[in-house]
Amino acid sequence: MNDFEKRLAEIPLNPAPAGWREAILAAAEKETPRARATIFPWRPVAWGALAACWVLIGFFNFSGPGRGEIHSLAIAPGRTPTAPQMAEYFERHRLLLRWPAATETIFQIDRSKI
Amino acid sequence: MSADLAAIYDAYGGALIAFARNLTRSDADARDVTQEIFCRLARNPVLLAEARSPRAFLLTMAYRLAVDLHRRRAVRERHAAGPVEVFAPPAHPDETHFRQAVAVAMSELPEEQRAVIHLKLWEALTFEEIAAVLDLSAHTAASRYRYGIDKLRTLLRPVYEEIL
Repeated sequence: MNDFEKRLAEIPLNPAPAGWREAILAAAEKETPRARATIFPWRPVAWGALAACWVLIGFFNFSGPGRGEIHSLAIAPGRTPTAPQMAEYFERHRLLLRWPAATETIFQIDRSKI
Repeated sequence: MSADLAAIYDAYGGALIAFARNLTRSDADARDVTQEIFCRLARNPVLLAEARSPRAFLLTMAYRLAVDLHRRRAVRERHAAGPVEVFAPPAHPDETHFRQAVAVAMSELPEEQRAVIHLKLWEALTFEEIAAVLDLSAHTAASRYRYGIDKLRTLLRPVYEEIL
């Protein structure tokens, strides 16, 4: 290092402003895992209830027929129905055929009795 | 406040701020860089424990963050920030002119030469250490230093000869 370089190296650097230490450390403190844990604190009952809700949602979601299944039944006329499906279909059809007759009896009013 | 972080700040905070200030030429950016370093240390406390040389590791973080910030900032924004006081105000009035001239001359150097000169002159690192901090070869660090010093000597010759 020559004289010129030594002369430069002797120049003291400006110290950090006084308030920076507290501000920087306070900002860093908020990033510590301990500080971040206070955002979602450990409450066993609350977290357990939330987990139970999700289990129930999952159970109801997967217990019934899926949307895809219903959809495929509706839009796949070529698919051969099973015996129970056929029986259910005929039962519904029979009930539907009876429905107009039932409504007719309801709305056929014997005006002579009024 | 974490005692560990406070101890790290007390040991290295001044050097990190001075380095970031010299690189970014902005007080606000130097503070952002330093704060980001400490936020990362807070998020990952073992980060520094894994480092062979904490000082070199922190200076590397400062350099990378400063370069990232420099790339993100538009040139207009950087100039709008105004001059930054890299050097301490002198006790003797005759020294003021020289320090101001050095600050101006340093700002005219490319960022990579400024980084090497800062680490060599004010952190007293060897070229091997500088190379490790800046992730380049020792030969490149030495040549950047020589180019930078030559340019500073040219820029400061009138002022330097005046005070001798």
